[in-house]
Amino acid sequence: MEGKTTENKKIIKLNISDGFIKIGFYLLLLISWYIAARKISIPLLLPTPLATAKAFVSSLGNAKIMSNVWITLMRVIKGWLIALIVGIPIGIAMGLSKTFNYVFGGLMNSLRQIPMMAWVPLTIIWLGIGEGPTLFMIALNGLFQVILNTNQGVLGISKDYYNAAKTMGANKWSIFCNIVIPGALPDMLVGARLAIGSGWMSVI
Amino acid sequence: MKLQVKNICKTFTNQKQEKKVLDNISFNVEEGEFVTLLGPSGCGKTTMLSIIAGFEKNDSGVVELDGEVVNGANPDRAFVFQNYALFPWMSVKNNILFPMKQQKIPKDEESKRLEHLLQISKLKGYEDLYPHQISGGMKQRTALVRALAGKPKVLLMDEPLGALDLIMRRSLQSEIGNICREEKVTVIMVTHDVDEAVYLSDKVILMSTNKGEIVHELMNELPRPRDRYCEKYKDYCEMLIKKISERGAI
Repeated sequence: MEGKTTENKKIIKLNISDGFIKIGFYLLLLISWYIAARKISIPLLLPTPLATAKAFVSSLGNAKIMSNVWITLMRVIKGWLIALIVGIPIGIAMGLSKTFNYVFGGLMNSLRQIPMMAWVPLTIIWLGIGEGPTLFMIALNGLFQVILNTNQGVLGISKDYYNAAKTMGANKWSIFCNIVIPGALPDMLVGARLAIGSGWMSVI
Repeated sequence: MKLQVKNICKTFTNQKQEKKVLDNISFNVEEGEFVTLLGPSGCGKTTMLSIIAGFEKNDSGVVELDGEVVNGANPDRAFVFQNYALFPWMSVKNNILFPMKQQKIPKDEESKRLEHLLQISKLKGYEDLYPHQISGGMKQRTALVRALAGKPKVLLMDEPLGALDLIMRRSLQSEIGNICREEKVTVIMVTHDVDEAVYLSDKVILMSTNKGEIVHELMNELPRPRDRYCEKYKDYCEMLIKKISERGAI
């Protein structure tokens, strides 16, 4: 406990002095950007920071752009949810069953090596142009992160927890709800976080 | 209630190398007895305890509880782990309630028992904290009363005080003794600490590194609470230490 409070203090202290350094750093970056843009003086190649900010503000007010941002956001969330719904059960099953891991692991590890761009033509042939391929790509990209992390989380649960639960009379379902799920939850969340990050990447 | 260990053999195979850790081991534990399996590391005492608990399968022989052969882990044999194995995602209270929830004990009885267990383990007021928020000694007591919560016939403890400093060990030794007597539970404890064995046990079973061979069984008839400074107590300790070193095991 004591260790934790001093750690917290350190973080707070770091934040205050670091704040100035951070502001200074970004100011420096903006100034360099400005100087570079003035030197090049072709807005198409490198617009000034001010022009970029103006464009950003005006597009905030543009209904068409905003509705497109909304559509993109919804796509990412939908794809992410698909990745979670499909990935978490697979990850758990791979963590719990050696056989499932052995049988399914090879397939997953080979699919995982395929570059995302290589999926694009295939998904367009399979799902046509439009919502389908985009969702598929977002979901697939996140899926592996979710599966791997969930699997890791389940495998990382100490054998003692299972043994302890058994000696206390827990049946399989209770072990699943009270040991497997809470034990693997932190890693599942890491997987979910990585998946939403890579979702944004692949949406572009 | 009687627990009988009969002719247990166990061999571990590790990278094609076979190592026999237990060879034809037998002993009895009477109802309400506090028995310690004492021995140097590598004598197979923890393996023996895991077999009794049902975590580990033996190659031959049987463990009988009330004349029935035990098969796998079961709430009639509770276990206290060396590292406590408290569920970090549950509060002290929910850890202790866990075995009672599994056995579907009626609500009013459940809360009465929880209250009692918090009382005897001096955890009252700390029940809503999580395992990472409490001290090593409190974790130990939580693990102990959690194991007792389901009213097991036998309590198995694997070096329950191994991770604590000497002062904490001493004070918890007397608390463990009190709690186990209060709950009238039969105990089998594993330790390598001679003093701990003599302080707590009715019977000390001394195992050697020679495939767990039982070198000596000491019946400790000293009155409780035990006085570490009485002659007989010191004699017991000396005798056990002598027997261990004779075997060249430590």
